[in-house]
Order: sequence, then C-alpha cells, then structure tokens
Amino acid sequence: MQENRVLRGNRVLRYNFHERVIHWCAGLSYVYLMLTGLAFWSPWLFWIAVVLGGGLASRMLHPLVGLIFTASVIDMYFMWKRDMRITDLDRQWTKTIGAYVRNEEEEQIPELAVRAWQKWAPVDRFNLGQKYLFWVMFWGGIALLLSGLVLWFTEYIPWSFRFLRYISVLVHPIAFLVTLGGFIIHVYMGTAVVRGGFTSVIRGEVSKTWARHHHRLWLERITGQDAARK
Amino acid sequence: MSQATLRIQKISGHAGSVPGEDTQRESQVCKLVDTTTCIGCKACEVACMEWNDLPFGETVFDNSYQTMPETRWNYWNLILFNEHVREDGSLMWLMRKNQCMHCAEPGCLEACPADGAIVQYSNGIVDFQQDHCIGCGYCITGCPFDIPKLNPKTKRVHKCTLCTDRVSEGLEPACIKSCPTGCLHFGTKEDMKYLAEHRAKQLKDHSGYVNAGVYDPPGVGGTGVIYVLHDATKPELYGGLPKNPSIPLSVKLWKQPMKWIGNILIIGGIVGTFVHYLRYGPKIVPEDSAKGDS
Amino acid sequence: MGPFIMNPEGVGRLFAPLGAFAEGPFPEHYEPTESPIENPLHPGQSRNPVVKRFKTPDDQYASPKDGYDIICTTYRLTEHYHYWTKNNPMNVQLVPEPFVEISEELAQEKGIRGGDKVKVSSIRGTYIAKAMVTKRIKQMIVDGKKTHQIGIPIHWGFRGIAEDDGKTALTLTNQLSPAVVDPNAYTPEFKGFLVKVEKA
Repeated sequence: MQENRVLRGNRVLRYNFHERVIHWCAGLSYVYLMLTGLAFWSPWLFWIAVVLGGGLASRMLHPLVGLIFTASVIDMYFMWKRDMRITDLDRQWTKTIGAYVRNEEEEQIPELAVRAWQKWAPVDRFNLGQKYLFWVMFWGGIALLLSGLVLWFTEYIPWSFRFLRYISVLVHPIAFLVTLGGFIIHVYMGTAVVRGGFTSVIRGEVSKTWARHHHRLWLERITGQDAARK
Repeated sequence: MSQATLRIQKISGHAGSVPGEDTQRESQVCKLVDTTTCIGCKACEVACMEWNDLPFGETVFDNSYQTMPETRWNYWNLILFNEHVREDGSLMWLMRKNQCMHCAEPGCLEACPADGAIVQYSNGIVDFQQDHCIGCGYCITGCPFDIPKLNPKTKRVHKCTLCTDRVSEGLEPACIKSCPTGCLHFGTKEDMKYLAEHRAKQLKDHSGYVNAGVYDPPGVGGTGVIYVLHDATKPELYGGLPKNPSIPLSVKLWKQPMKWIGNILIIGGIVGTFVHYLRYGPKIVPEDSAKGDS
Repeated sequence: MGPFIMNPEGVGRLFAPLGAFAEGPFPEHYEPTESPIENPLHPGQSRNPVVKRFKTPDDQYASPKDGYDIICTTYRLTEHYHYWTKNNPMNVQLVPEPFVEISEELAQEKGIRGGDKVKVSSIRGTYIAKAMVTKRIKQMIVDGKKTHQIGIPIHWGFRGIAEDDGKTALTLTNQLSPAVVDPNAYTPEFKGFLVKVEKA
C-alpha cells in the first residue's frame, strides 16, 4: 500500500484507476462470455448468439474475449493476491455470516451500535465473501482457459488424445456454472445490497464512515500510515 | 409444412419439438459394406470425389496403399488397409471402406449447439447443414468414429452425406454404383441386415471364418452403414473400428443431466437473489456515506 | 477339360504348321533370360533358345554372379494406368509417388525402413523410388537358397504433375527390364529379371 489513499474531505480511495479499469475489463468481458456461453449451453438460448452478431461470429469472438478475461483475471491476481489471502480473522468472520446475509449488522439495530465494534469481527480490505469470489474467479478462470483452449483448437487434438476433449467438455460448463454463481452473487451484493459498492468501483472513492463500517481494519491501515507520517 | 421439413426427424441444438418427428413412413436406408469381397480398388473413393466435386488435396507416400491417414473435410470416403497376420501365421490384407456411419443415435447431433446445423432425415441419413454450422467442433468430440472434419478456412465441418441428394431421387449412392466387385449394397436396413447375416453365415459355413459376423453397433442404436467382417470379434483390426462405440459419456452427461441441473441452478440463483432482496433488503449504514458526505 | 484349349481338336500336337510357331508345340519349362538358378529340368539349356534378344550395347544380361541376385517383377496398380495418369490430379492424389515393394526380411537385411529412398539396379539401368516394406511379399527358398523378390509398379514415367513444381525427374521402370521378347507373341520378359537393391 505505498500510494496514499487518503483524500480530501472525509474520503478515501477504495480502488485506484488501474484496479477499476481491470475490474471492468474482466466484468464486461465476462458478461459477453456469459451471454454467448449461455447461447452455446442451451438451445433455448441460442437466439442470444444470433442477436449478438450470429452463431459464427459469437463462436469466433467467444475464445478471443475469453483471452481478454483471462488476462484481466491474471492481472487482478498479481494486483490483489496479498489482500486476498484468507486469514484467521476470516475464519472468525465465518461465525457472523448468517447475520451478515440477513443484513443484521449494527446499523439495523441501533441499540447494539455501542457494542458493535466488539461484537462484529473486523474486516480488512476484503471480507471473506469477496475473497471467495476472487479465488473462484481466478481458479475458475484458469479452468475455463485450459478447457477452453482444448475446445477452441479441438480439430488439432489427435484421436489418441481425445480424452482431453471429453474432460474439457465437462470442465468448461462446470467452471462456467461456478463462476456464474459467483458473478450473480457479486453483482447482486455490489449493486443492490451494499449501497456505495457500485460507485466505489466506478469513481473509486468512498467515505471514511463507509470504510469504517464495512472494512475497518483496512481504513485503520491506510490512515494509520498517514498518521505515522504526520 | 413442406415435404422437405417433414422429412427431418432430428435437429441439433433445437429448442422445442421437431415438426417432422414420426411423420413419415419411410424406412431406414442402409449401406452394406462386405469387407470380405473388397479388393481395395478405390473406385468408391473416386466416385465420392467426383459426385461431390470435392477439390483435390496433397498426399504423400506413407508405406501403405492407403490414400491418406484419415478422412478430410474434402475426402469423405477412405479405404483403410491393414496387413494382419493371424495366429496360424497366415496373412490377411484387410480393407475397410471408412466413412460416416450414419448412426441412429448420432453423437455429432447430440453434441452440436447450433440450431439446425446437423439434421437426421426420416430415412436415417445424418446430414450437416453447413449454413447453420458455427464451426465449434463439438461434433468432432461427439463422434465415436472420428469422422467430422473441419475446413480450416471456412470453419465448417464436412462428412459423407450417404449421397442424400441421389437417394432422395431414388438412386443409390455414388460409391455403391461404382463398386466393381459388388461388395457394396444399398437398400433398406432390414434387407441389408438380411443380406449381411446371410453372407456371414456363408463365410462361417463354407470359408472357415468361424467368427464372421455383421458390425451394426447397438451402442449408437445401430448404424446406417453396416459391415460384414471376417472376424466380428476383432473389429479394431479393420482400421481401428471401435468395438463397442457409443456417444462419449462426458457428452451424454453434459447434454442431459448437467443441462437440467445447471438450468435449475441458474434460474434458482437469479430467483434466489430477488427473493433475498424482498426479504432482507439492502444494508444501511446510518450516516449514508456512499456519496462521501458526513 | 484338357489344357490344350487353343487347339480345335483339344489335344496336343506332335507337329505344328511351318512358320506358325517359332518353337513348341510341346509344353516346356524355360527359365527367364535372367534367372537366379539353372533350369531344374535341363540345366544345360536354362533359357529358351529361340527368344528374340536385341543386340544393341544396352542389351546386357546378368546373372547372380554379377551381383544381381534379387528377382524383380513389375505390375500395375488400380489407381494408375500406364504413364498418362501421372498428369491427372485424381490419380495422383490416390497414389502420389512411385514406390518399390520389398519384403520385411529384405528390408531388415539392407536396413531399409518404409519410406526410405532405395536404388534398384539391373545390369541395364537404375530405378530410384521410396520403399514400401510389406508382409505381402515374402522371402523364398529357391533351389535350397534364400531368394528375395521385389515388385515395382510401372507407372509415373519421367515427370508428372506431382513433380512439375520442383522440376525434378523420376526414373523409369523400363530402364531396368530386359528387351527380351517371346518369339511367337513378342511379349517382353518384363515380369522376371534380376536386380540388386540398396539404400539410395
């Protein structure tokens, strides 16, 4: 965290420019892959490929956009892998998942607000759910890449290596379903559930209050450095 | 509906029912290849090239009379040669005419995601419709006989059509017409099976081939091309004919149970998030700090 | 049914019309002009005494002691017809290159693998082509001696469409075979003569 993420007013920089660009690169390419992938997955959805430029065009672009997606995910890996390490703190946080999903944090029950800091397991830059999404997308992306390469160049795989095709034809849709699950939850939580989440990955900024409520340890870490430099 | 539409009984990647399913009385056609009387003259290879106007390709000498190692997008019919030494030391030069088997349960059709790219007619012929093909190559994975071949320039797959254009005019396929020894026969499946069984019995009774038999694999529901083999217990000797072919298990799993489970999970996931929002709503931070105030 | 199907009376003749036959009419066995062995019936006269042999300097005839100890025979393929099919793309696609069929035993003896270029030479000329190592040709025991036979399809000639690009030329099978003709029908002895084989 060498760069200074504390900004004017009450704001901090949640995501810098590079992080935001890569996130949208991965996200938008995933949307294209998901739509064309769904078209190839089910005859009832084949019309999606037709609408997106035709079956042949979709089939040609799907692997190319897949390379863009993989490149973004790998860049994200190097960018965020330290922040995404699963720690003992995360394992403690798992005890609070039920209340987290039911949105029963301190904000909903003001009486608990005073005891909130002690009751709630604090979270660093990313909570466990976000870390799970990261690793699901990373490993899912690798699985999609490898199986995707076999399916892309299927006519060059010789008959004696056909088992690679048989494996890929199962791994690719399974990895797709798993990453799709992550995608649905991620988009839902980022847009509908956590207010300010969407803006944070567009504008990059969040208020210190937001950061204190959602990612207290991270806020202390970035302002702590600031405080040290004072 | 036009006659042509009703003559199709299966369509690949098709949502909903097939309009022509079970609407025709036509019986399944069948090509009988008697490997015991084939002389490997390749008249059938030439006939296929000529009838379908296929462009010529490069070939090289590879220590065999076989024209090329396997079929190509522009070479649909290939005689496979095998010099086989039997247990008693005698030599047999086995020759098998290799082409699409026109399975009753085609793996290529099962695997294909593109609507209408592969069809099966009521007479059992499996045909590629290249104008609907998206060039994904899933049919290559679905076929247990390694038949569909991709044209790298146009990204479409091609294979033997069982001369459906000739058959629909009442003619026999080009290869059958050209065969000089009469080892190729064409007719209904019942008639060809009868002929084949009769020939296999003849081989057993009079020529000493105790294992002679007919190759009509049940794993793919039977095929539109059947072989009489000197030794039906060892089809792999005849240019690698698979012993018990079926649609690969992974393709079957992918297209049937996984499809259902996946669709339920996807719809369940989307509905689930909507229900979650109705029940629990969003997270609210007291001083709403999303826009940086406070 | 007897063997003398060409005679109206159906039986052999002791005498034949003058000028009708250069030899015969009794059935006989003669060895080809180039043969690995002496005639088992009458070693003193192995060859047919009345065959037509041409007498140009190119017309030489070998025996095993000249080093030519492998029997060569020539034949045709279904995929080609004489030499002109080397110019037809369909035929060239079916069998693009000339080859020499040799037995597995001979291949092992000379260290030849399928696809290797070999040089076949008779006392009259040489022929260079790729080797087809096959089980269909077997080593023979002739007169108690191990004898090899090879087979050469006659097609392809000097240059066809498969060679035009590289402007390379092929050799002709006819350069190997002897110009010895049957005295009655003038059929040449193209199918039995002696050669030696080596890796090219």
